[in-house]
Amino acid sequence: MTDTAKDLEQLLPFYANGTLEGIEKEAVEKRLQEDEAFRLELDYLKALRANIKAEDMGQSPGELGLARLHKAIDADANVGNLPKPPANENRFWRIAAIAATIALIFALSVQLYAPITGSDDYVTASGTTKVEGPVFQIFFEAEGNQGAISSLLAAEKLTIIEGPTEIGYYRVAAIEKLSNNTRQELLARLNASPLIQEALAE
Amino acid sequence: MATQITEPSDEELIERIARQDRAAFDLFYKRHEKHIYFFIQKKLNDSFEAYDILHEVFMEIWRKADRFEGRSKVSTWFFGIAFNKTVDRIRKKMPDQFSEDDNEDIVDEEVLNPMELVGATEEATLIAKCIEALKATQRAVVQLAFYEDMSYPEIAKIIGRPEGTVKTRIFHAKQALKLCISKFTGDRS
Repeated sequence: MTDTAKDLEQLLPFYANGTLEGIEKEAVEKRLQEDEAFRLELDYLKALRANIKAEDMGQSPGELGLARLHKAIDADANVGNLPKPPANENRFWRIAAIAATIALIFALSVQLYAPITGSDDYVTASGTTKVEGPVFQIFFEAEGNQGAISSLLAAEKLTIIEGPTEIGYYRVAAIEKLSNNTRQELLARLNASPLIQEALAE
Repeated sequence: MATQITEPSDEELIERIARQDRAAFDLFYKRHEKHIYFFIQKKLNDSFEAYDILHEVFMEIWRKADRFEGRSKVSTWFFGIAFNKTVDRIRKKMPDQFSEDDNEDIVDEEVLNPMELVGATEEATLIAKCIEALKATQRAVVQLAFYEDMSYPEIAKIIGRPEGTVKTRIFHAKQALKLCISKFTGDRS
């Protein structure tokens, strides 16, 4: 392939998406008139583009994401509006910070030198059931009643291990180990449930 | 005579966001969040992290709208923010995915594990699987060119690389996709 031919091949995707202009567009069109293989390549790219464009974008955070942004923007604004502490308060905070640092170092050293006896296994929020399956993050619908949510979790052999978090989701785990396919199917069922706004796999 | 109500342009919304106009921000979010989320999610394959990055992108839009100078399209600006934040996250998780030492002349022959394609009998699913198998750098340009219909100068600005690199990347991505698809359909044309 000559350099010019290669250049034109590299421009073809942008002819296919309609963004090529001017001399480059004319050069591509000239080659298209002359070269059957080049026309087939364009057909392939157009089909590829149509296929990619037809892909469903799926679920996005939507209103939930906007609510989280509003909260963060409010927090930003509040930080900006806080009055500056008077200079003579600095001394108190410096002493408090030093005390906190000493306490932290002490706590860390106790943890580091303590014998390791625990495991990384999750237990339910009540601390009674050991769970082995994958963990999901679930935003429940605000209108969902507790009984219906409990029934759903029981039917799917799920249990709450943490939550609600600061942004409002629960961490929920499958009690049993699941294969990748079963996990995906479960995730799809959760997202289809009217009680759930969004479910994400961890 | 009926009054025609026109939607504000992205440029107008950004000007209003720069003045901390919440309504403009909400409208801008509703207009673009799905596309930006999809763009991030496609590269990360992790909806939770994509949600986090989407949040960071919009916070940056809110905080830095006053710095947008209008030298590029608004979409080029915010996709650039999304791209950089996604790349930073991928670099931390998978450093080899965004190596600057990529040799653009080598056709990426990375192919899928055949088991992954057992269920991918439909053409659209097969293409989606093959796109997932591309390098993150190639996947980004394919998505911007074919999903967002962007020109190569715009894509170059978003990914912060020369225009020639964009053209080479999409050329190699196209070859890799062809190879991947033909391997599983037996079509060598």
